[in-house]
Amino acid sequence: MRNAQCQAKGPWMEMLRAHAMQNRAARVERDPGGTLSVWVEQTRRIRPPLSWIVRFRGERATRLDRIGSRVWSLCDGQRTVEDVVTAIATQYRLTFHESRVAVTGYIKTLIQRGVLAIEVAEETV
Amino acid sequence: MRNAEIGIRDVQMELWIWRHLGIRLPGDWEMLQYSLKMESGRCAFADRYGFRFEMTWRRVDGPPDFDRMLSDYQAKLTEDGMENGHRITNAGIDGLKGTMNGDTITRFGRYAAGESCLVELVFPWPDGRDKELEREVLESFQEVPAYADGCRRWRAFGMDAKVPARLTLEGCRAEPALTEWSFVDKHHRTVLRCARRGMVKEWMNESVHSWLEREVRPDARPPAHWRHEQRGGHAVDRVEGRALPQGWLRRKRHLQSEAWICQGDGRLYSWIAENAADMPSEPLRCCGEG
Repeated sequence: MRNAQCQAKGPWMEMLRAHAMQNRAARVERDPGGTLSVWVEQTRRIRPPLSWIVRFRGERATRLDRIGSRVWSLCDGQRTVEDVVTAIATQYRLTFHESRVAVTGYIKTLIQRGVLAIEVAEETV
Repeated sequence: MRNAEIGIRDVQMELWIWRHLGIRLPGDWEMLQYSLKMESGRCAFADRYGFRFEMTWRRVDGPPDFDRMLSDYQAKLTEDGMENGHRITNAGIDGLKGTMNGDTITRFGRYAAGESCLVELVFPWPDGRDKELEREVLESFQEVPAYADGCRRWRAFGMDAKVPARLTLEGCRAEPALTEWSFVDKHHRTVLRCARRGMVKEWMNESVHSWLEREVRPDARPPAHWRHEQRGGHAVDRVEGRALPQGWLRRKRHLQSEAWICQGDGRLYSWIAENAADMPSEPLRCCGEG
């Protein structure tokens, strides 16, 4: 027998307990077909002489498909990521971990794009 | 849900068969890690909060001296940081119990004689040990023999495959809403690919027949034989013909394929067999234990 590296607590637990919330400063456009465009102000600016040549856009759009829009709408700051994962799993008939992998990956991408923010719950002893 | 909240007896046990080793685990435990190797490997299962069960295997020359092996293992685990380690028995199987990083972990050893395999069954217990569940799981452990026709059974990720014994599992892809297995023979001439796709309503905007035609792309000469039949409550589309010519010899391999949407879970199941004359009539099943 070899020494198993089985750890009881899943490394995904911290993410599940977190609360994801929409960027309140974002401008949201509802597109036909249930998709969304979320416009987030860009913090990075380009400086001259580059700005004389390249037109700077103050906002960057992230377009969410139907499932992405559903995830985004569920991230209301009240629900935990686990609640969002469960809701998506139920709606699309996925297993919990199938939904977890898809939803947490998607939430991470939206956080990087400034569309969502995350509040991580503190560990209670 | 944690076992304490729902009572584990309410959860249906589900059969998993991997590497000819079978085990029944609570239905909300999912396989998150797996190994394709027959010689040695591991599978790890988790509920939504963490890992709950691990099965490791290693091919050995003969049955081990369990008593000596457990003593050596206990000493090694103590060296690695296990506290309060001691011998236990459940369902007639000898094992070890100890605490590592604050969690109780129980470990049991079995020898699978038919497979010449030493198997370790590990249970981490984050909410305390559930001896009854442990017993149920241990009692369910079995070596899964070949079918009468020599085929072997693989059952995981919602798929239940019956595979000719000469084929080995070469690849497994487990992603959200997509699981694929590919079995091949020694020379990679015969290939069996089984797949299960979810969220069908979100992406499938055609019939199963047209999806299968696009997926398999049978050659027009000679024309492929298509069949549509009802089987076990499912509308199954089947094609048999020749694949498009491949390689510099322009060989057209014989192919068979089926696809259907399971009414139970709404997923699209499909299998494609190339150059497989000995394929069983239903190499892939969806619902039911069969």
